[in-house]
Amino acid sequence: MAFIEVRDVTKTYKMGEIEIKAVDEIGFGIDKGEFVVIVGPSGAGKTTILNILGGMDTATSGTIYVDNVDITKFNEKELTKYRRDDVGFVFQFYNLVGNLTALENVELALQISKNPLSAKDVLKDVGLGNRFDNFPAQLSGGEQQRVSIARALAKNPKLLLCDEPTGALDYITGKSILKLLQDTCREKGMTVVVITHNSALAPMADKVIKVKNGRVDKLLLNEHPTPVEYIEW
Amino acid sequence: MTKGMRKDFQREIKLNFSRFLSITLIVVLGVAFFSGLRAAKPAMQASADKQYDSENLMDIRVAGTLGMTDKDVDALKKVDGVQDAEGTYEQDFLCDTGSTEAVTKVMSLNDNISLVRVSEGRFPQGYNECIADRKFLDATGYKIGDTVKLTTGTDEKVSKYLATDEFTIVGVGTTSMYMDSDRGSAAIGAGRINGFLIVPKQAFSLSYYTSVQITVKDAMALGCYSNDYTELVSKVKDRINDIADRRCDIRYSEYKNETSTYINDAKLQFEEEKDAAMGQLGDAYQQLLDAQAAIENSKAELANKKLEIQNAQDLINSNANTLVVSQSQIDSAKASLNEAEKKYKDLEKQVSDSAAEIERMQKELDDSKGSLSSDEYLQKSYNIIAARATLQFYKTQLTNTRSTIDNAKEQVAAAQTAVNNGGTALQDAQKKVNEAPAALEEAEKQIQDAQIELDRKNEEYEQAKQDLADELEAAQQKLEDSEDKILNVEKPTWYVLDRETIPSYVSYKSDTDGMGSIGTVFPVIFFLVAALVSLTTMTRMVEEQRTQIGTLKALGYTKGAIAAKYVLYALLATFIGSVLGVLLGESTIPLLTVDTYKLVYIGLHNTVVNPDIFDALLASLLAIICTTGATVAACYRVLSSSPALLMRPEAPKAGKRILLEKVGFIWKHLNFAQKAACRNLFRYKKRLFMTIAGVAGCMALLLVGFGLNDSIKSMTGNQFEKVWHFAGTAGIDSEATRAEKRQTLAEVNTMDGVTEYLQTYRSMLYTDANGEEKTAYVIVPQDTSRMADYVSLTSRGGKNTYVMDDSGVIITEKLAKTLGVSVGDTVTFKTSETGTATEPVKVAGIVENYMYHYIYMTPNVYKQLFNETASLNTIFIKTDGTVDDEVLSKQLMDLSAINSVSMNSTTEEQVSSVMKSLLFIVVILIVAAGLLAFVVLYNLNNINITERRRELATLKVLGFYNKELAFYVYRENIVLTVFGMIFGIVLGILLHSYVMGTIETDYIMFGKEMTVFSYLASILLTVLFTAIVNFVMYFRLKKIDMVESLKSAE
Repeated sequence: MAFIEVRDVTKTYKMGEIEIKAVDEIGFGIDKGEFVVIVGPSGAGKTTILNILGGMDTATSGTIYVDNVDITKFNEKELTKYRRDDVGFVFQFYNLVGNLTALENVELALQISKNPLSAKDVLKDVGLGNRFDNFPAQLSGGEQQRVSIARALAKNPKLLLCDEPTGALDYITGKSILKLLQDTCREKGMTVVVITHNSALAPMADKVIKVKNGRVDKLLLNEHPTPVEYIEW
Repeated sequence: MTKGMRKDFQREIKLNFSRFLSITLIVVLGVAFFSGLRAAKPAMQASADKQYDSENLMDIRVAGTLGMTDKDVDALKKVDGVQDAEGTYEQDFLCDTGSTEAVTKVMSLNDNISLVRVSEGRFPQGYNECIADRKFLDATGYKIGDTVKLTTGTDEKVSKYLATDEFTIVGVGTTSMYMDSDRGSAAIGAGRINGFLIVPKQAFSLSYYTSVQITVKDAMALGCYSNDYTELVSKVKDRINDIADRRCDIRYSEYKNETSTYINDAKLQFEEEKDAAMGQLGDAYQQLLDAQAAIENSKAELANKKLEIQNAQDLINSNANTLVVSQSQIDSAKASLNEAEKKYKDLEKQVSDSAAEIERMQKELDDSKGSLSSDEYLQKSYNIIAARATLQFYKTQLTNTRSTIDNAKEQVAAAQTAVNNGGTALQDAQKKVNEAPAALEEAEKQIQDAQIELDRKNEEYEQAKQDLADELEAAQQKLEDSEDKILNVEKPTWYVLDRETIPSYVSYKSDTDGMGSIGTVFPVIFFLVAALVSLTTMTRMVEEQRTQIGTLKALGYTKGAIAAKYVLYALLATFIGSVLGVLLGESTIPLLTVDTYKLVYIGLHNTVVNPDIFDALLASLLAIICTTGATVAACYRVLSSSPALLMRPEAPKAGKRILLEKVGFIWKHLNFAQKAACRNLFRYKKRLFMTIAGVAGCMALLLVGFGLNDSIKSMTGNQFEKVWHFAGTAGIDSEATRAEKRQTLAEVNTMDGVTEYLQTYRSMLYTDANGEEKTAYVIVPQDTSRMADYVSLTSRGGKNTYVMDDSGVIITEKLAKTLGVSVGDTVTFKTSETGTATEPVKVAGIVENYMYHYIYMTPNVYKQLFNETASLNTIFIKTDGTVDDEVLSKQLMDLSAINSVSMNSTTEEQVSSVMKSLLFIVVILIVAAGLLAFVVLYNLNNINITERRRELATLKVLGFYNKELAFYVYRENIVLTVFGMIFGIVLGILLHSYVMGTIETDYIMFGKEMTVFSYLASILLTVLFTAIVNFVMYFRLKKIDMVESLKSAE
């Protein structure tokens, strides 16, 4: 079995009388240390997949095994524990706590983590060794996203989920962030799932899952992923 | 407003109804409390005023020291401004029901003024029917239909005042003269009036009215507690005072005429009685003199008898002597007789010897005849013849001697018999003499007894004589006094009194003032809070919609048009809130207040709640100013930004280092969550300020509420436990004689339950200092060193304890405060309002005291100031608590020289019952505090969570458990609550002392301290309120959708 095994997951939202299937019997597997890009147009169900995978939402039906544990059976508390111990999350808008410095934002995650890494080390790793004591408002977008990544990594999660990590960033900064994610995956063996609507990013992934209308449209495997530096969009 | 904007406006309300509601509700709360509390005082006053008007309660009452006549009534009616005048009677009586003795005030039933309201039964028809007061029925247990019998409680007859002493109760009634349950004091019975009876005028037999009640023209139209009313009445009072002098002159001469005859009669009667008494006394004296003479006679007789006995004894003694002499003579006679007998025997022997010799010689001769010469014979014969002749001689001598002896023997025997007889007679006489002393002693004793009896009678006589002299003197004095009183009676004075002299009228007024001050301060807190809540809510709303505002601006809408939406939104919410608030507040709070006060003012049976349009408009206007002002302020900053800036998401609030971080040793010890909480606190300054304000307000209201309760309780508690150490006071009749007073004091001393008493002089003085004048009781103890045993002479807080000395006077705290004097300053005194002031005297001490004003003065100081001795007129009594105060009070009243008794327990009861009404305010405050806490904290927490939704959602995504998330938020709330409480305590103490200051009346000082319980209760309740709000918030936190974290920060 793959490290992450998604089987026949359906998510149905009820909007009054109408039932909308945001995700419809979707299935795929992700191996440990893989860099996966889930790509698709707006409204295709990417975020729903991410939410369910990240333990922020529950599937209506189907099963998801993460490291051989079925997270769809989890109750709210177990889901919280799953998020806190197993998942690192990188948001499109960084979602840093504005009132805490870069270092403190990382520490915020460490507070609740089981076996965290050193906040300073992680911040150094993401290239912010000299910005420990800056508040988010004093950092550029790219720097903020690095803090966000550091915050996710410091928890030492099994899985790093990134929701449009470059969506709010300019081209060059976006590239550097993707590089950071790719390096993290390569060097640390971290399983990274990136969600994006930008299909140009597909070549950098080990595995590309194309989503369309709530279904997996295509599942591609790159034998030789392209380093980010060489991708243009 | 365009159609689109109108639709947007409607949907804004519909979709975000809870925000609309929160503004509406805070406005409802503010406006309801403002208008309701402000309407409470007018409602209370209007309720009373309407009742006064409907009963045509007197505006002015004139009481003359010599009573009032019909002519006075007519004269008063003619005074400009007087609507009507009516003479009335009243007098205090006792009503003995068998089990209790109720002091009863009997008043006349008026025709026009100060009417009585009959709540049960009917008005009296006959002169012997009456209406009873509910308190009277409670005290006596009588009911309608029962007959009441009255006595005067003095040696006067009821008929002096009333045509009958028995009345049948036909109804139960109330009068606005006695609205609360205090009926005042009386000089009879236990000293407190238990209730009143109202009888028809014809039931009174007095020749004069005790007072005239007056209504003032146009006064009814004015609110009775208004300044206009007071001014109007005061003008008429002045005019009445203007005619008083002349009316008093007239009354004076009338009175003198009326009474001179009476005086003469009394004098005549006194002389007659005096003569009769003196005659009786003379008779008694004569009897005593006679008795003394009789005793003297008896004594003389006794002495004679004693003398006789002595003589008899002497005689016996001398006789006995004679007898002894006789006996010894007899004895010597007997001895010589024996001697003689012996001689006789010797002689007889000689005779017989001689005879024998002769015989022998004869024989010898015969024998020898033969032998013998004749001569010889003859010789011999001759010898014999001679011997025979000698013998014959001797024989004769012997016979003579015999007869002599026998004679002597006879004589001796006779003498012996005589002596023996004499001895027996003497013995008899001695026996008689011996028996005589016993009888004499008896007689002597009788005489002594008689003397003792007489002495006693003499004493009695002296006593009676003294008594009569005293009595006569007293009677004379009384006669002279009453003559003085009547003939030299000072010209009568009129007392022109307004409603301010009706105790319940005044206490009701001070209660309404209390309500008024509550209505001034507390709504301000609510308005402040309402304004702050609206400000945050509207700021939040405007900020949420900055993109939309920017878009509208970009589309070309003017600032005004855009702002109109928000201003209208606030206006509409405020308007609805104001209307609801006014309706709610004005309909419930005044009604509730009046109804509550009715429990205390049992004579109040009206509830008038006049909707106060002015206050309603004022409240609404204030609310509108607060909310729209807040809205404009919130819009202003956003609207003045450029559209481009607005359409970009607002830059997140920059994090900032706070001052605390520089204090390394504290900051380092905080854990991460604490640090975050600290930064967050200062990040949202508006929220920090408002939460602290809300919690502080809640805390302050609670503290004031509980503190009010403390102060009220501590006032009576302190006064009766800490300050006063005696059980009561008794007034000594100043007209009582010295002997009566002495007698009374002796009886008090031995009375069961009384442990000791202190003799004092007590009276009312006018005290001046710094242009302020106050009346106060002066107390001059005869033994100054014992004063402190009865009244604590210690300053509040126990800092200084004073000893009374001649250097100055000790005054009570509130008096010092109102006069504006401190220790070392001087005050002057007057015995009457118009009297001359004394020399200034130093204030030597200011002591703790809560009710009335007192001046403690040594007899020397009093004498120095007033040039007269402070005579005994009041005793302070201490008891051991074994005898019920009411029983003791009655026993004291029964003593001849005591004319009034006031037991502290009774006073305490009365004071506390009045103070209970204030507790209503406590309840209002606690409810208000609760509501305030809920509204403010809920609102703020709501805003807090809404504003930080993304942050909180992110934390959730990061894997914070709900509890951890809640504490992340609560930590800030706890800190804010703690700070709020600290500020609240400060605010509460200030507010409390302000409120106490406004509800304090002239004669009352409340304790300013609050108990630990009050602090604890306030803290606990505040914590409870905030805890409840936070608990409710927990569910909102739980509901936060993590998907929020994925959205952009718009």
